[in-house]
Amino acid sequence: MKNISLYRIGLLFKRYFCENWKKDVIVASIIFAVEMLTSLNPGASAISWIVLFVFFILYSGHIFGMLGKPQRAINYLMLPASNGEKLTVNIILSHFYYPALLILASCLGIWASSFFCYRIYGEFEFKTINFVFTRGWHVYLFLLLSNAIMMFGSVYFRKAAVIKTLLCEAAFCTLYVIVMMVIYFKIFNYDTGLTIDKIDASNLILYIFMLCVTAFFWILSYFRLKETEA
Amino acid sequence: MDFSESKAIYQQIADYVCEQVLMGRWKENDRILSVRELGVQLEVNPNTVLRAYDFLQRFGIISNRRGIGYFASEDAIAKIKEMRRERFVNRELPRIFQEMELLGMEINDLKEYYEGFLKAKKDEKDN
Amino acid sequence: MIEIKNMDFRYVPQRKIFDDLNLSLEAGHIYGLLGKNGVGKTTLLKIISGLRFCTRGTVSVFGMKPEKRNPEMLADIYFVTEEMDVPSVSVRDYANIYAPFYPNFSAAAFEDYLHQFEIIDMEQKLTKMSHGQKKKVLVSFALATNTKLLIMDEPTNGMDIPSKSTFRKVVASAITDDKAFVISTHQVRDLQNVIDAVLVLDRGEILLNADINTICDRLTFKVLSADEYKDLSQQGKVLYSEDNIAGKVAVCTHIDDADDKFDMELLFCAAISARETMREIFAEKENGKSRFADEMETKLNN
Repeated sequence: MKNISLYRIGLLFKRYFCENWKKDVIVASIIFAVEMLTSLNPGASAISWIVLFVFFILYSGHIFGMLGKPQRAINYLMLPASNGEKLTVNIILSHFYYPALLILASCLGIWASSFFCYRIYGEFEFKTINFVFTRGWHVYLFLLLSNAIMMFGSVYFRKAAVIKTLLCEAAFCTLYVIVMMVIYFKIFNYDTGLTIDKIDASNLILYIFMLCVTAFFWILSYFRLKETEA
Repeated sequence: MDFSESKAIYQQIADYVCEQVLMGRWKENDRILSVRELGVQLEVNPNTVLRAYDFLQRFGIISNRRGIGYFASEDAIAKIKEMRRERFVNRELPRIFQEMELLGMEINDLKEYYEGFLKAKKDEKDN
Repeated sequence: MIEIKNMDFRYVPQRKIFDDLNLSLEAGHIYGLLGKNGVGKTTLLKIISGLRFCTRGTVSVFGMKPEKRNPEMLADIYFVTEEMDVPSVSVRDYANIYAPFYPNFSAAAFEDYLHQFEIIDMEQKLTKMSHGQKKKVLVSFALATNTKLLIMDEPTNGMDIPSKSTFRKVVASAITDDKAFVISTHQVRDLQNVIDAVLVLDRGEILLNADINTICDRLTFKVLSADEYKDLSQQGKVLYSEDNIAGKVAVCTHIDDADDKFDMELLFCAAISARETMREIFAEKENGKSRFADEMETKLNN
């Protein structure tokens, strides 16, 4: 990926924010409101986690959505920036900027509700969204990986990318689980002692593996973008 | 400008330039519109205007001063008349003669019409 | 500036859109790309812009391969498509966002062109504009980018009558010796005075690529009386003719001293109905630039 110029990357970001800032502000506001309301109920943290996750998936799955519409695809592909630059910008947007924006919005929502509770009931509890601070790197890496897959799906399928990618993922996971089950139960005759503890024990390998797979999908996306015609 | 159907565009542009000079809108020895300016004004490709200017240059009606632009020649009006006369004799007259032959007219028949024309013009002037 | 050699292209394996197409475009011209519906005009323009990849042969734009989509190359090409999809931003913001991508963009020229097209309100949203107005903005922007290659696909579609006149003016004022414009159009009458070189695309190849001076040197466009028509067609000089109120309008091989007006529509009809004669006329004499001769030679050798 030669041909990377920070100037052009800056221009691509400028283009993105000028054209999309309103949408992003609206989504962030919705998340803020939802979190503010649901955080009053301790059991709802799982729901907020799912809501966030769905938003990330939708966003990454649409990050190359312009390729699905002929005219937009032409405009985008003809923009004087290299494929590498366009991909870099979209990776940053979908993997880092958007999650950061929404997590920030939900934290703000939770803090806002805590603040109101304090004003009303006089007790202040400094809460954050659970998954961010309790689950650690797993969550981040999982987020990266799923965003990378969704981004690849959006370059690859171009139209109705989210659904198609999820279907593929589901099919792949099912196959994977079946194969694993066969391996564990038939070949090695493992007992059912396959627990989370065992995976935790091999955390480092898992992290590296997830990073590699993420990078792998970035590279796939690059080649796919390069070969995209309009 | 509306272009007629019967003449090459560059010819019509050349005629337009000649017309401007004859009518005194563009003076002899003065700079005339650049190729691009005239192209824009007439909505015509500058290359076509260039061809018209080349054509006029060959007749010495305009000249190109390098780096400055095109100028109407000192004796542009005389040259234009000369060019037009040549064209009239070589192009229009044969057509007229052909038509006369077809209609069985003699050269003397024309005289009458010509005198009528001169008289009408004189009357118009006197009024 | 642009060289295409032995290019094949197909969407599906069975159907070739382009078959051994050769084309060379030079700076300083406004090319009119003519061809029947579905002959692949837009596809050809897309291949030149790097949006489609040819199946065989070489395409070179400013010495680069367009399918690489090099930013340097893209910064020197602008493509105004027939249909447009614009972001929901104002005219001013559009220029702010996209102009920095084009190093030679001239803001003054952009405003001047917009002014000529009578688009005064820079704060107006592009998405709120009519098709014709959007086109005026995009054409103004495209011309103001000062790219070496400007491609316009049916630019006058949807423009009102005064705008077509403005379009001719701005195009005539923007062309320079280091730029080439390629305009694909069916609206030949709108544009024939600003176009100075004609490309005819037919049956997968470039049937004709010649500037108008050359065309006028080799062909004559003339209204013929019945007798003249008879004479000339007996001599085999009439390539194509149409009935007309004054007799027949015809495209003939060159007749000395006939300075009739070049007619692009007739030229196009002549080209696609008398393919071989046309090819010969523009092949044999063009010794300096021998691409037609080359083509013939390779055809004979095969």
